[in-house]
Amino acid sequence: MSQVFASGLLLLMIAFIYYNVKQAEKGNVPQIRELPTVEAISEVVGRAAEMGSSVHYSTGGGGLTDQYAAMTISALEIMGEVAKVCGEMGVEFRYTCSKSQLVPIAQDLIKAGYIQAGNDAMYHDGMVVYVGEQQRALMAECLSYMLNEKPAGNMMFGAGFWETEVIMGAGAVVGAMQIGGTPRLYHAPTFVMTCSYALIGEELYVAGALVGKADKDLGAIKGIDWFKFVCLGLIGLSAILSTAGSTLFQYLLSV
Amino acid sequence: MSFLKRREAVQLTFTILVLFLIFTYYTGILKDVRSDILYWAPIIVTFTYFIGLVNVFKHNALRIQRRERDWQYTPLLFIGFLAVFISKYISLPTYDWLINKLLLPMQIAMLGYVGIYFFTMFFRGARTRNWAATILLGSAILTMFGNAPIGPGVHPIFGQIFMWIKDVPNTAGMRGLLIGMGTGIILTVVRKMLGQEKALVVGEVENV
Amino acid sequence: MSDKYSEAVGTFPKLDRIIWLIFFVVAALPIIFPIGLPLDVTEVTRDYYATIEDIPEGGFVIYSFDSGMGAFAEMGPADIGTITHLTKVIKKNDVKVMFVTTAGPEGQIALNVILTQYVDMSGIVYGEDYINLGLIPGYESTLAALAEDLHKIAPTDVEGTSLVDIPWTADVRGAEDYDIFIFSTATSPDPYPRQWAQYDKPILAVAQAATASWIRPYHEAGMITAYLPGQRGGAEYEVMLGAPGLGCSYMDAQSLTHVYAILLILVVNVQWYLKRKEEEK
Repeated sequence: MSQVFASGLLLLMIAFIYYNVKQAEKGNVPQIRELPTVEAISEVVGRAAEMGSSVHYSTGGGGLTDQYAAMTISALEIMGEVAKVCGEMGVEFRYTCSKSQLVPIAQDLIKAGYIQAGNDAMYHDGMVVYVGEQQRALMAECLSYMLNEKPAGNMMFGAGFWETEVIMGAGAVVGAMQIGGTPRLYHAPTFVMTCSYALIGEELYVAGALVGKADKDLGAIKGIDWFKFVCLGLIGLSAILSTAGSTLFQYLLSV
Repeated sequence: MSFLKRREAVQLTFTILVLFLIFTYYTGILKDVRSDILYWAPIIVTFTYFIGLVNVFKHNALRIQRRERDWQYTPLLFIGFLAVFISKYISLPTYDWLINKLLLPMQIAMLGYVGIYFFTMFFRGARTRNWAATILLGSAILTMFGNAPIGPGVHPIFGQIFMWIKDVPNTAGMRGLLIGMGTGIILTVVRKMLGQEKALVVGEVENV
Repeated sequence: MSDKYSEAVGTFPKLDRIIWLIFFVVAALPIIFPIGLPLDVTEVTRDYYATIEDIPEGGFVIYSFDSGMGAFAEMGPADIGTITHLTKVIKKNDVKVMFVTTAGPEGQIALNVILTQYVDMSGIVYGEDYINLGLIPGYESTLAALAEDLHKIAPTDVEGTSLVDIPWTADVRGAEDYDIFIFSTATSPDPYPRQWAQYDKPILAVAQAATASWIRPYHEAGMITAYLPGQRGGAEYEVMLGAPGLGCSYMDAQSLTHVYAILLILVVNVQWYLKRKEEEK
């Protein structure tokens, strides 16, 4: 029964997203609050431009072949926007990754960003550094880059693992302005403590949609919010019914 | 550009596969086909390791050629790779020595940085700037004290406070964030299926 | 070289270095000179112990070992305790154990170190009592495939022996033939209950202390039967097994480093508060 119930909820969520995307296409664009972290991207890059320094970016240890794919995709979307802003301001961009499948994608995204900014001459393939699949290699490379080059801006979005502490800590030590975020909950405090602005939980996915500033993306976010209201209603209803002795939700969630 | 290289081809493949996997997961129909598709996932992942290997070699060979900063250390990467790769097939004791006596201590040492930087964060970021930060730090202090044996050793109330923080507010917050994470993942997948994601396909730069 | 060294070291403010040095001393001293603080065993550790103890005669255990040596300090004691306990039930109840790694090669390295250096494997025979499927990359898709069709995703073990040729794996198809799932992960625990909870078999977890809060919703929902959270869980398990070891020795260090962290937070906030007062004047 739980399979039927879960599939019904999934279809409902997809329907909400699809409906709101279509509504947004027709001009019924929802108002989404601004995320300070997304707004701060130009501030961070601007600081790097003033100091003649670079911006370091990392998507953490997540790849595209595991459950962190959605986080990594959102982080790559943000990275495309950051690369574009770097191109506009003439700032060197550096992306360090530990997943092989991200290398060609990142090179394309960063190059596209610089081309869109009209600064394609500044792009070079060395902006993307792959350190091997090891998390510790990622830590060592980022640590080395941060301490030697002292970038003025440090950003980390995506699936952050233990390298989060090292990368953000090193950024704090060298005095970089930092922004970042991860839906991986137990590293969220690291971002809160070391960043000027941080994304917590699902804000990363919303940020990935917001950077594109496309109306359809805003519609999709509204669709998800509708579904969350449904979840809240179900949680409240199940609490009341279960307390009253009903076994409806036990039946709905039975294996 | 041939259709197979176009973004639409990738999107179509992705959409059909995702919908099929979701359909078989919930209905149980064509389960064998689903198993076959899942079987291909580790094969594709293995091939991506080759992509990474080529990139590592290319990047580091260029570092040596251009005499970039600290290029003198870069040949160690090639030597290390060859040593581990060859020893695995020729001399297992050498391979074990390389892994247990070199690689593992270096890995554990790198992870020691995590602890070090935690204290950097405490030093630089743990400020009670407002009431929310005060509650955060207060609960962090109580959790740290209650989790370690010293807390309940001083007084059992610290262990009980820790268990309450863990069981009630922490679990409640986690549940909410997990629901948010799940919906966010579905959002990203649906956006991809509807073709709203930015180009993540190599070769799209010309269309920008 | 010496210029680069002093340049790199000079990047760290003096106070950071002092803080780290004190941290190192506070963490290292109790390991060298143990204090022996008392340790209570929590209910979840007792449940974990009971679940393994209750594996039926001839039971089949699938153990997904996805942590690495980097997390050994935190999860090693729990993993060692779990495998030690499994060796006991293997001898007592003729239980069979199948190890596999799905996330990355580090799990196999850590498993090999534990089996060869930390667990007493005397009387336990590879092939008869346990096998290792090695690394099957793919993570969650591999976890799903292991539960659906074992022989398709893993036709041989790590030594190349066909599973069909091993008597106790020849007829094992998937989750319906497993008696218990165990997983050890240094990252997020979501994929395991997501793929395995539907089969209504006990699932045990070895995880980091920070991940334990992530596991709790699954535990509360009954999807994960029990778990060992980090060093503390490992130490408690050693107490349950009657063999205090690495975990118990780390507990003293954990106590002192936690106290040090608390004192650091308090000192920093007092200093910040006094500085703010001075600036307001």
